[in-house]
Amino acid sequence: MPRIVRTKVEFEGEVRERMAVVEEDHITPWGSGTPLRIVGRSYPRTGGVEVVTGKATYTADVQLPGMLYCRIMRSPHPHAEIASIDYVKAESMSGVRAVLCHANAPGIRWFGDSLLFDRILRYEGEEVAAVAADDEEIADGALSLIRVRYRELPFVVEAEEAMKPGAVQIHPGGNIVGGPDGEVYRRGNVREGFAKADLVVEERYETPAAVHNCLEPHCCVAMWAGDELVLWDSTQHVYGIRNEVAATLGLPLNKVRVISEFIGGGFGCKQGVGKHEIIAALLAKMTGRPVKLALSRRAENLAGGVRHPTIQYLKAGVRRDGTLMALQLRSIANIGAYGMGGSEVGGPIRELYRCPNVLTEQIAIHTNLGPATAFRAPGYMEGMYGLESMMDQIARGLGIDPLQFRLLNYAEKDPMRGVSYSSKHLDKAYRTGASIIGWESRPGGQNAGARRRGFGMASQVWGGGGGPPAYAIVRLNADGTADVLTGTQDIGTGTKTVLSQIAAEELGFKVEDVRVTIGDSRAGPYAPVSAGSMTVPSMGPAVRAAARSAREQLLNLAADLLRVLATELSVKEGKIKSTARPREVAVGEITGRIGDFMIIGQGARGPNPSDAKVRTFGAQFAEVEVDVETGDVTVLRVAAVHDFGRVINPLTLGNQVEGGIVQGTGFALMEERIVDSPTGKALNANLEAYKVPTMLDVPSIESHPIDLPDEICNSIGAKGAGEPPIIPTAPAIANAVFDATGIRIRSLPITRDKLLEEIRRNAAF
Amino acid sequence: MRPFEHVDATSVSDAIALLKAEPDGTIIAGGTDLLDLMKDGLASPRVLINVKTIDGLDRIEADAAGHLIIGPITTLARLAEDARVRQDFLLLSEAISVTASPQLRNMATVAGNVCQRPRCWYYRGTFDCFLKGGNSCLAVGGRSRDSGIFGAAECAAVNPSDLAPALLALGASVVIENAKRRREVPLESFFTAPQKDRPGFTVLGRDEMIVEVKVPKQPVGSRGIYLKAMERKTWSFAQASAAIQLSRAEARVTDVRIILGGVAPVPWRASAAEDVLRGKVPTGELIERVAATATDGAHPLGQNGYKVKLAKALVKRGLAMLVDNSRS
Amino acid sequence: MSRSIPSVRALAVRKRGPGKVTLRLQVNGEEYAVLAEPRRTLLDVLRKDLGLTGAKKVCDRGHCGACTVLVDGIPIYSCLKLAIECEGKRIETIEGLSFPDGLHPLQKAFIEHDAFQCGFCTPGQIMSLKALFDRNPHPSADEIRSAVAGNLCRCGAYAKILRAAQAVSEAHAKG
Repeated sequence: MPRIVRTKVEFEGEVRERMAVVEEDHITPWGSGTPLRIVGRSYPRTGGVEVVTGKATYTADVQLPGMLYCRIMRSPHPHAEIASIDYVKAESMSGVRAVLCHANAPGIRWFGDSLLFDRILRYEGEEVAAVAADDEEIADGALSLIRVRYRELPFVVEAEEAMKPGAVQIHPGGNIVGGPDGEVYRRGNVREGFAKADLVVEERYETPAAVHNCLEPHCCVAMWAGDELVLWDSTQHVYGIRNEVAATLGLPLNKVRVISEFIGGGFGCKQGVGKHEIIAALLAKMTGRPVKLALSRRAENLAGGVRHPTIQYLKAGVRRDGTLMALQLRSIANIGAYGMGGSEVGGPIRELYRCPNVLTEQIAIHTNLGPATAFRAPGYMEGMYGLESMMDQIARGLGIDPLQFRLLNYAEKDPMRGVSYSSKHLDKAYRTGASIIGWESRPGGQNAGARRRGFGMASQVWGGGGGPPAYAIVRLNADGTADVLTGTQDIGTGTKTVLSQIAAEELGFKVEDVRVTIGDSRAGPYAPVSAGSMTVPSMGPAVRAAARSAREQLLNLAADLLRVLATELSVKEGKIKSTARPREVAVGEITGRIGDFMIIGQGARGPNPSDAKVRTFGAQFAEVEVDVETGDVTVLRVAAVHDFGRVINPLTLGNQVEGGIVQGTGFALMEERIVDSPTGKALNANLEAYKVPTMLDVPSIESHPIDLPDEICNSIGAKGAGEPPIIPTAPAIANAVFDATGIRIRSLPITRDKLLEEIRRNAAF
Repeated sequence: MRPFEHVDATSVSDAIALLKAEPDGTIIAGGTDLLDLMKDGLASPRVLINVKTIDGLDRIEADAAGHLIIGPITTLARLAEDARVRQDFLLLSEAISVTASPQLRNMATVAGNVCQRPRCWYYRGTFDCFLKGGNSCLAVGGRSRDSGIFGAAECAAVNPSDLAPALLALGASVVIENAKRRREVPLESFFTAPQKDRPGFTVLGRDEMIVEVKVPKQPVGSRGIYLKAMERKTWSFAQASAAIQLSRAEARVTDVRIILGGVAPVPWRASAAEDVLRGKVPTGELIERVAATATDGAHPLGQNGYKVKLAKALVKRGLAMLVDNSRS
Repeated sequence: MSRSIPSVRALAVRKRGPGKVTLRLQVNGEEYAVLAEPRRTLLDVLRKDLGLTGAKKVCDRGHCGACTVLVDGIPIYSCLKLAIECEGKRIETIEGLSFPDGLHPLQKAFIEHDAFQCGFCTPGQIMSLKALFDRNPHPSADEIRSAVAGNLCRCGAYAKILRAAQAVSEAHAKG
């Protein structure tokens, strides 16, 4: 019987206490000694054939009879008021079926006091009007016929400008979210800590606005079937979209169905509802036809979300022996006009090291820029760059090896609450990574000539373990195959594959006899957003619980039919074995006997442990070559050792790690939204000038996950792996660049212009 | 992209007659720059004149004097792979190998590459830029990281081509036809400073067509090198590049051409630097001096000072590699 | 367009559009007739008119590689190619790659080596590699890297893409 419990759930650094409906029975976690046949082994992805043959239907590929195409007109100004809008010509154009703008759209509240189509436009790229037409070319032509008179307003795009008194106000409440010092965390007394320190260092770091640039843009197809809305949507959360769309349009939850089977990347920017889903639904209602709305690449860059840029003022105090005495951070995040708030930039400062005195102030600022959204390890990636650059600098200042310095300040217990970790193998990660890269034997001080080698390292900490609510259903078919149903989604991480392994393991079936259905809010029960490295540690235990329930029902039935005790039976590779009899019975023989009477197992993710802190950890080591004449930076090697808990599928996990490092390399060396301050407009809202890494930018990567199950965090022992790999890459590279050149770039990305300018200023080389 | 008529030309004279008859007409060859411009509304031709249907415009051959004759719609990929080019004009293959991406090299043509419009983000974006009728160049006081360090009086955009500096280093010319005549223009005088409402950056008239690119035969033992610095390892325009062709007799430099890419509105010939080297025996010290001279007259803007150091480094390294190579 | 009629009509040229015209295209060995404007790109014709959605529209500007298809055996960006200029040419898309009796070795290797995450770039990556393997069955690692240098993978599955292609190359070397 299910019951209701209170449990703490952490999401991207924020802890919330929630009520959870969970199954009564406690499931013994798979421990390090549990013999597992399927979990822990590499399996190629389910759905792979569809992907490699081009048959996988992403939202962008959905085409329905009579479907219209929607195009959006966007603000050309960073801040303006619509004085007048004339769309008569557009509306009367042949092939145009509907036009929406503030003059005729329903007054749907969107953000604070603003509306879905607002008269005030607060960033370049904000939605002005939408056209639904028989084809994209027609819709584009219609947009060019809409006449808008804008009253341009003063604007502000720099966060520190927007903080000043008298700055242009973007929303009535002012530009600073929360109090003037933002979100404050304090432990000990930093002033006393700095007073006791032998060395105090203060630095300013900057991180750029990185654009997700998922290859599949934000995209949806809205279709009404009577009073029900069916929405194909490229999203990280089908249930979240269902709930938000239903609430926005005033529909009962059971009249909205959201489908998202294949998703062309998410990385955080497809977590919640955007204006496009609502606009498509409204246009579909107005026209009585399905409407497809895909953001253009330019719109994706302007309005699809960014990792908020940060400015970090970081101060660290340390004793001569290497003991950290105090850490203080004031971070300023530029969240654009409609960002929901800042992320946990102070996270790493608060919890990576054993430091008695810590103060973090996280400030989030509204400006006239596109909305900031979560982007893989939001906050932690930015904060880790500042912190680990600082730690490298201090270690060198003290003459202590950077790795040794980190071990000196190693936190055995959670420095924030003093509780134990459910598991922590960061020390092992440090040692293994150091050995792979050859840290001890790395050449030092032999650098000469134009091309110089350098080594750097950085640590990683991030939440983990997942949590409720998350549900799954396992159905057994008459032929002995199983269907797993859940409303989760696979954004490219391999969720579907991993869940089939977990179900097969628990059922005792072969992997190929288990089919997982996801990505449809009507096909499976509630599943959380695919974000925060939560999916496997939340969904895995739910699927395991459902599979266990199904297996128990199966064995009870088999016991009746075979006239033995259920406790004498087990299932392995699709066969039921008895300790009492020699003969094996295929599962299909049993299920076939009951025909279309179904065994249905239900499972829920249980509550989180209340007395332990669950964290993923890791370390990365980078070797780079810097050409000090041309400013070329080449990342040669990265060694990555992370503690994700149990590894379910080494093949797909390796892909996650490598992908994180590739994106981290981009963040370190090339990715940056560039805004022209005098006009407040973006200069590189495309994939030509916004650089993402290519095949040739990728280092050689050696990943050695520490595959030790966390027996406290949940029943499968996996802590999550989506975000950790991206966190330490940039600081490891930045520290390696310093090692090679003696030049420390405190503003990412480390581009040629910055590097050569620093070299010139220092008259180095 | 606005609607247009599409015409398959079957001869050069057809194409030129069409250009003359259609003031809103333009030639399409590879289309890689043109379609990009059209999708962004920076070009809105009413008629596209397809010259890929004209026989013989993609030839690669040598004339009697041993000069290389390249048809205008020869793709970059074909030119780079041509056996004769690899044998005698390796500089071209080298420049192309670091141009754009494999797919773009398969589509883009020689004449189209030489005529491509600047990549300046103020020009390509929705800005009131000088080239689009604005009062002044927004890059000069703005985001000038990618802008030019030479000749940036009215517009600081740079010529983005890799092939053009290489062709210039080889002393190439283009043969241009209009309805009345055919003329040969040395590439050095083909490129022009930017003009308002005419972002073509060349002397090509709107009813004219490039019908040939001619590369003179190089002296025996002459060698070239193309070095390029980009924002990532591939598939980017040059932040700076250096195309160098060096001829020597005994140890002495008989001739040298040093062309810088990505630093000026035209492929920038570093004549003063060439003069320092010509007639001399290249020592390490001399090469340093040549490199130092290569950026004489540079006027960096607020954010592109690094290009001075970079261009020098590329020239120095290129020359050193050429000298080392010919020694071994 | 009245002003141009006298001079242009006299020329022996084929002029079509700006309205819809019939395009005859050969895709994956099959003939198709499509009614489309001259401004329609090959990518849009493949996806919208023929329902071949394997080639993806990501940037629509030749900056990503997801729309890569082969025209006469050569990989190109179909978003920068007018469909009207592809008449009489042999167009190959990912949908035509599978052998009648199963997957192409590259497709198998991509699955086996997990050479994708979200999979949105995969058809383009495979088509670029297919062109490479067609002319060079045993490419080196550097040749493989260069062949897909014009195909972005935002998930960063590059190491696995390389491994998959290397596996096919090695199999060819052996067999």
